[in-house]
Amino acid sequence: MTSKLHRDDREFLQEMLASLAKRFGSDEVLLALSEIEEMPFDRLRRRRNAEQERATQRERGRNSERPSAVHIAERADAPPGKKSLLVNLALQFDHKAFLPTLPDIRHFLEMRGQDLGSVKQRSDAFRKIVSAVLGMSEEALERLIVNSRHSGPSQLGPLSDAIKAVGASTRSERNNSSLFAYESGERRQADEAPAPASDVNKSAQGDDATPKTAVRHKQTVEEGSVGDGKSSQPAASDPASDAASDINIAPQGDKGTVSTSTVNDQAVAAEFVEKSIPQPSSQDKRPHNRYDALRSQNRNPPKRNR
Amino acid sequence: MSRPDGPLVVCVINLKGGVGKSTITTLLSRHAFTNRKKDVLAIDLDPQANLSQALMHASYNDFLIHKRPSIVEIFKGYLPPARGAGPKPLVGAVETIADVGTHSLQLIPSRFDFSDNLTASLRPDTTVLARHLATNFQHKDLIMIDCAPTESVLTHAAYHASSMVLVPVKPEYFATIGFPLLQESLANFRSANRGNSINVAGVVINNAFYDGGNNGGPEKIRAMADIKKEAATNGWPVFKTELQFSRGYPKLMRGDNSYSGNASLFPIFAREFFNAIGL
Repeated sequence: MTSKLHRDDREFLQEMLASLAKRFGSDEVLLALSEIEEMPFDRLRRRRNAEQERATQRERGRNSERPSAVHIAERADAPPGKKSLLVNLALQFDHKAFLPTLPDIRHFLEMRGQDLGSVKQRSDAFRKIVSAVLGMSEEALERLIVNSRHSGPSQLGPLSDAIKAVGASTRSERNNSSLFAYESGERRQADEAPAPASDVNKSAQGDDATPKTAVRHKQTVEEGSVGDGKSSQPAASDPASDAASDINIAPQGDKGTVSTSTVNDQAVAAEFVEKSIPQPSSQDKRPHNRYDALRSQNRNPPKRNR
Repeated sequence: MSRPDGPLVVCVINLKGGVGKSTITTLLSRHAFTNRKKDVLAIDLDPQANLSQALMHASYNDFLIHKRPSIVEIFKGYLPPARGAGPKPLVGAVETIADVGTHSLQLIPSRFDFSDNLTASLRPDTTVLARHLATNFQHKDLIMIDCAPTESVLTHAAYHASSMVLVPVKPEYFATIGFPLLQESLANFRSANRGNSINVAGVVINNAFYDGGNNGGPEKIRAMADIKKEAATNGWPVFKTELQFSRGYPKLMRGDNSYSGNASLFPIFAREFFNAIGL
């Protein structure tokens, strides 16, 4: 049924009704109308439901006719290389990995001097995106695809993990270089003999020539907080052996002990990189939750075995 | 087409933290690129790297873990050895945020170990950044530098590279204390570097501390009076447009475009600022 009212009057009526419905609810408004017109309330509600159903069907029909982003990309007038990149981008768009919301699309287009216009549905916006990116070079398009993996709002958790992973990796690099200097220096012989506890403490307090990682590792192994789930074993067991099982290398005397924490850090950093960056060809069988497991162990260190 | 005299270089600074330096740098850089179609370079000189995060969003994590070059490498002057190869000449060290045709919005990002690296240097060279920009970025229209909130070699590096300073301030007592500190810092720099004519382009009032409901009350009025008096004493203009409080700002910095609220009024200030500096 179409309204016979003038557009201004119709808008005024809709505004009035909208504010009434907002305050009292649609049902109360309909009830009041039915009382005014002496029309049965059920009839009014049936009429409203039928209107809603028709609108829903119209929307469904429109959606079913809507082409996917991939479909639009495949039909784009672009050279083959660029078209394949476009299809890649469209695939991510269809999976909401790229520009997941309409405001994201608006921002993306505005950054490129374009306007979203009257587009109301995300799925209708891909044509606009295609026209915005068609002028880009293949290199820029590739960069866009790579960056689209990180689409959407940033969160503290992944950033915190990245900082920790990079910190671990940087520490391991420093330790590797200090280990090299240490092994080639004159203090090597001194270290081959077990250091007394007082020396260990002294070193930890600031002797730069002594690798602090080794000290830290010795301490943490004694406390049983480093390991791969074997921390319930006696902490006084061979630290080098524990470390070797953790990082899958054979113990190499003092060297194994010194570099354990280093390699541990590297493993954590490497694993974080693998988890963060999709690498479909990777055949790595290491457990994917080891970083979380390590963090969990640090939060709940196993009790010291006396 | 780039400017005949080279890029305008503005550093955003206040020797007081939390006044909105990174937010303002981010939004001005974006506005210049998007609305004024300018070729823009943003530089993050703050080891907290908020500007980098605000422009790169989640891809900043990727930048970190792949150890791509940053402001740290610019100060070092080379790319560190990697994968068994030795050090390499510094090329790039920029992240492209967006590009359209011939103009782009690029960023020299920062890292959290930036200050550690400088502290470890025997004598950090504060002219490195200026020389790097003079050699590599003369084609840019605008360079925006986000400074750290304390006086250090980083501040001096920004002064060497900049022709103008933008000073964000919040109308609250502690924020006004940053004014005399900055005036002293600039006076000392000018005295030690007579060839450099760095000027304060203006002070922008960032109202973010206050709820728009009561507009700050008597304390804001006192702080505003202090700011205007101090700015007049120093000969610093105060921009007419104040930045209104908005919950949209932190959302935009996170990369959440769902709501911008009063942050959508930022272009009013951006217009006034860019007209004032002649972009």
